[in-house]
Amino acid sequence: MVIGYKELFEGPSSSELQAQFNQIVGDSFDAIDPSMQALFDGANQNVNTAAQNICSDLGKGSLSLDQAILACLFHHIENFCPKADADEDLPTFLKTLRWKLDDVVFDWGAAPPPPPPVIHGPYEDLLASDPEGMEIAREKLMEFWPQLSCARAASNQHARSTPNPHDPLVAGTLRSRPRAPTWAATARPTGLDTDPCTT
Amino acid sequence: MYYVNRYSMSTAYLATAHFKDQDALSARIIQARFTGHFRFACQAFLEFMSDPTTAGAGSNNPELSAFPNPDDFASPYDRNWVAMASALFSESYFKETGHIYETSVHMFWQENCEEPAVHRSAMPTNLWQMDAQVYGEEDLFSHSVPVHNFAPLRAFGSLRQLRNLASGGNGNNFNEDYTNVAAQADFQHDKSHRPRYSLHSLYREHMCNPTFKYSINDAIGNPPVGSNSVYGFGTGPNFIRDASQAKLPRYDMYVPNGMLGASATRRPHHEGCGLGIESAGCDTTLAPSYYDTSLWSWAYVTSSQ
Repeated sequence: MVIGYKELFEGPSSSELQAQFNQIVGDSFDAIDPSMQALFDGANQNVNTAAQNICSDLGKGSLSLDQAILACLFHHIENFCPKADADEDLPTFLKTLRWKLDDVVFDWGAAPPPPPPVIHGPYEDLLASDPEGMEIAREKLMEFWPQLSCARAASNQHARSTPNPHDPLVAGTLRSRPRAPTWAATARPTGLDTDPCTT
Repeated sequence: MYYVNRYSMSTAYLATAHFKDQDALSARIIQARFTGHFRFACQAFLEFMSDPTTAGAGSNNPELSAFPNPDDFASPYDRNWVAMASALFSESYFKETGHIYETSVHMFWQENCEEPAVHRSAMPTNLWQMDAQVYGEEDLFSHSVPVHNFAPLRAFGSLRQLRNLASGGNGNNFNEDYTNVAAQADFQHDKSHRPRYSLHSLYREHMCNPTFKYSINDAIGNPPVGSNSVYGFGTGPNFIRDASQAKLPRYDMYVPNGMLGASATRRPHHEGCGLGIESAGCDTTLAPSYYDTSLWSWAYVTSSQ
C-alpha cells in the first residue's frame, strides 16, 4: 500500500523513457538526439520526497489507504499544536482559569428593542367586540376569587372564633411564640386605605 | 369563609410560587383550586351568569332574542361569561408564566370548578378523624356547596345551538357563538366536545340506548361519592397521599375517599345492562358516568334564540 503511495511520486526513469521512445519510433533513429537525451535525463528529477515519505511509517499496520491518510494528516497537524506536558496541566488550568466578559458598550441613548410581535387571540377578539363585558368579567373574577392572603386571613378569623384543636397554627399550641408576618403580609404594599380583601 | 388549614394553604402557595404576581387573576384561580375556595367562587360566578339582565345576544344570530340587550352591548357574539373568563385566565397565565394556556369553556369550568373537588391535600389522619370538616363542603355559615350545585357543564351556546340535533350548534351557521368563529387552535376542545355531548346526545347515547340500564339514580341522583379513580381505594395513580415531613421516607397521610363527598362526576358507575340484555352481556368498563347521564348537569344558555 505504502509502496503504491510512493510510486505516485515517481515517474519512469531515463532508460525506461528511452525504451518507450525506441518502441514508438523504431529504428528510424540510430542515435538519440542530444537534446532529446537531455530531456530524458532531466525528466522526473524533481520528486517531492517530503510528500513521498510523509507516511513512511504507516505501512506496518493494517490500515486502509483512507485511514492511513487520515491518521497521517492528524499526525502532522499535531506538530502545529503548542507543546504541552500532557493532561496533568488540565486541572491546574481549570483551577487558575479566569473568565472575562466581553466589554459591553452601553449606549443609553439607543432606541429600545422592538416590542414582541402582537399575538391576536381570543382575548383581543372578545375585548374588541365587547369591552364592557370583558371588564365586568374581569371584575367578577377578581371579586369571586380573592387573594390567597385574604383566604388565609378569613380562615384565621374563623379559626379564632371556632378554633380547631388539632392545628398548631391556629389552636394555640404555638400561640406563645410571636408569629412572623406571612409572605403575603410582607408582600402587600403599605399605605392602602382600603382592605384589598373586600374590593 | 370556611377553615383553610396549613396543608391546603401550602399546596395553594406552592402551586403559584413561580408566578410573577401571586395576586394575579390566574394565580388566584389556581390557588382557589387547592384552598377549597373554588366551590364558593364557582357558585357565585354561576349565579352571576344566571342574571338575564347582563346577558347579551350577538347580532350574528339571525333570530331576534326574546330579551333586550344591555345598552352598551353591540357585539356580534353572544356574551359568554365563561369564554371571557377563559380568555382572561389564559392571558393572565401567559403574562405570569410565559406559557400558553389553552382557551376552552369546558376545560375552564372542569379544571377550576369540577376537578378540584377530588384533588384535595392530604392531611394527618388524626386531623380529619377529629374534624371531618377539613374536607367539608360548607362555608362559614354552614351552607353546603357540593360540586353538583354548579358542575359539570355539559353544553353551552344559544338556544338554537342547544336545540340543534345534528351537531349541537357547531359550525359557521352558528356564528353568534365566538368559539365557532375563533381560530382553529382556540377553543378547540369545545368544538370537538360539542357534538359528542350535545343535549340531544343525552337522549341518543344514554336515555334511549338499550345497552346500559338507565336508572333513576343515573337521571337525577347525586354523583358517586369519592374520587374519579376507577381503581380501588388506596391504589391507582389518582390516590392522593403525602408525607408529613420532608425527610420522612414513607407516606403517612392520605385523602380518605369517602370524605370527598359526592364529587365523582367522571367516574364510570355500572347500574346494570339494558332491557333484554343479559347481566353479563354489556361491557362494564364502558359504563357511563354522572357527567354522561345526569339530567342535573348544567347547560349554559347564552341567548334566548
